[in-house]
Amino acid sequence: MCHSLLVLFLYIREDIFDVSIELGASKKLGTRMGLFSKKKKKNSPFELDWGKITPDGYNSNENKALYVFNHHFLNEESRRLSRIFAGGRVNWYSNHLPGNCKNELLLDIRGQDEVTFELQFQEEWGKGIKEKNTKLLEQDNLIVEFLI
Amino acid sequence: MSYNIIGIAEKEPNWKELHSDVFNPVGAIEMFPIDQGDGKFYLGLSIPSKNIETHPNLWQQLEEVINQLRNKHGFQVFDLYGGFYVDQNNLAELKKQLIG
Repeated sequence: MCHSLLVLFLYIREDIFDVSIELGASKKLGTRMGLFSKKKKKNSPFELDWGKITPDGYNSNENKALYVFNHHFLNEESRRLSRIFAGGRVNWYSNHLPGNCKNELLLDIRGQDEVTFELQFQEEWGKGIKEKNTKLLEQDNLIVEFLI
Repeated sequence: MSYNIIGIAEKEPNWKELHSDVFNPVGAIEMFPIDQGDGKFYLGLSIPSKNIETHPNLWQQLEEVINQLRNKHGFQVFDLYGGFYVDQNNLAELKKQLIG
């Protein structure tokens, strides 16, 4: 009887469990019962196995990954897409690296003298990446540097 | 260091079909989806420098992936090293930059 009431309650209050991380245990219970499976997005690329990842460097002592971007920074479209790419790469790779991994982004702008070296460019990069990655923003574990 | 390329689509692709068409678990090209939250759909392609040296058929793999993304799945493909959108006219330029 109690079990039936619990199942009924979970089914009725599915909306609450679906948006609350704190109620994870209840959600797990509900998931095992198959109550929430219909919420899962069917056509998500993030559910697929995209294979191995290779950061440009990884220091296990510091738990720090290095990413080097020797991209073309001389036109705005390339800079915009480079930011999207860098954020996406760090975000995806972070899921496969040890927890709380620090991430150092090194932008190789050698030979691209027209690129602005002003702080604004650096802030633009950090902000553009962090605002799409709350985990990185909260942990402040993202460093953007330039190879000049 | 790696050679980086990004694919951009306005319309959401069938990801499972795309994955089946372009992803090779023992290939030279690493891939990852990107959630930018701007209503577009992105796929990152990254070729680690060691793979450039050790995969003799790298160019054939990449050309096939680019063709699949552009012609079948509605992606634009942008070469982040060269700073240009890839099409049939500049494939040779990309090849030259990648493998010489």
